[in-house]
Amino acid sequence: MNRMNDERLEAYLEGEIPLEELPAALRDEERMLSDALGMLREDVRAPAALKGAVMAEIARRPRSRLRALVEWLVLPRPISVSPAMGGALAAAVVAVLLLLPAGEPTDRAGEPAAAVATPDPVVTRFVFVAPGASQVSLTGDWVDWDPDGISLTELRGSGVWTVDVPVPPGVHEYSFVVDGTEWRPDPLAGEPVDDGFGRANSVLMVAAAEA
Amino acid sequence: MLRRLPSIFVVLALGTVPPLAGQDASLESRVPPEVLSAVQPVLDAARLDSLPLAPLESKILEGVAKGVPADRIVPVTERLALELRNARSMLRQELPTTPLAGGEVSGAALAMRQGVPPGQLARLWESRSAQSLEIPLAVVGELARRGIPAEEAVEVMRVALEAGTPMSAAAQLPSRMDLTLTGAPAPQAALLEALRNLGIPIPPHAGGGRPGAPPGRPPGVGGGLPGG
Repeated sequence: MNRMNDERLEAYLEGEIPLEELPAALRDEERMLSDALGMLREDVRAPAALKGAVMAEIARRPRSRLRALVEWLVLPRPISVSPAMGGALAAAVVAVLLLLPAGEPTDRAGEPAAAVATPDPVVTRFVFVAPGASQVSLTGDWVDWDPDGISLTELRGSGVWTVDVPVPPGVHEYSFVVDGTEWRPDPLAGEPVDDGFGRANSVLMVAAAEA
Repeated sequence: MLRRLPSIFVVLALGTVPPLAGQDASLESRVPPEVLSAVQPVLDAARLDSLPLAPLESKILEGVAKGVPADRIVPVTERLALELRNARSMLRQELPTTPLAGGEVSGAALAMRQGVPPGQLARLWESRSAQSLEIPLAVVGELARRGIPAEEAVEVMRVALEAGTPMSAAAQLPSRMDLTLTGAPAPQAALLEALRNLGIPIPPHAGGGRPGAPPGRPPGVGGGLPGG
């Protein structure tokens, strides 16, 4: 049951009534909120070894045949071309370009992501209050809405769930998934946005770390 | 040499075919075939138009993850593609020689969805430094969504950009406003309070506020809270 909007709790948060005037259930609610806010105020620090561990994991992954083929195609190497072959290639390129349909001029919006320098992810703390939940996960566009998501850890059986996640800089939408089925926006992230599918997402804006 | 020409043509032709078969691996592996075939025309048209594909693919994956049927994913993806196309087209009218990054087109679409006119958004480019405007555009949209008039929202971000405000502070502006709005003041009053808290300069006419940059508190409470 959500008592977050209880008028007595609001009155307490506004400083209009003392904590003692709240019923026990609301006092529990207030304690969870205080825990959550306390966690949000803590500095989030990326573990020193995070970057090394990520790079090691990338290096560890076996190279597929497809990747080997792609690398063979795109990695530069010296090639000898005779003048006649060069002329034929140029003619072929012109012929193919003439056959292509005219489109809108390409700008950076059409470039593949790999062509743009990718800034480092920023470790971001997420906190979600879900008393009674047995499992809470986080998913969003930066993990391609992986339905398994990123698992949050409950703080000492308090109903406060948290996780620190590296998030790439940019504007993101995300949602929590409670017990694998219930999609919920982040109540601590302000007014959620319509996801177009009849549910709501939270918006997260992550700025690149400044040098 | 002549015998090799056909193979050269084949190689070149293959190199110019839009990457239909080279679809994002996560789409192919996660999207059911019936959904993929339903959204393929939308993606193909977007690719031909050089629209940013990432938000469209993300919306499809989101729909699949949420168990939405294909016949509802398609119109939502189409609508998003239309918003991106309109945003880019209108920005190009305002800024004919300015290259637009994919994130900037997405940010502009988000702001325009909140009713911010493209002519207003284009003013942000006058104040940009080297950095992408994706976050400033999105912040303008989020401020407009919280009841700040478009012109005022743009002015706030213009002044912030010109003052060299860190994007980490600007990005927190909407959530800081939300914290103040829970006390039910007018949106403009909440904006002024958020600007003061984050140490972002206040434009001369913002919410009747006064110019200048009062000392700000360090960033703190928010939703997902970037740190490090």
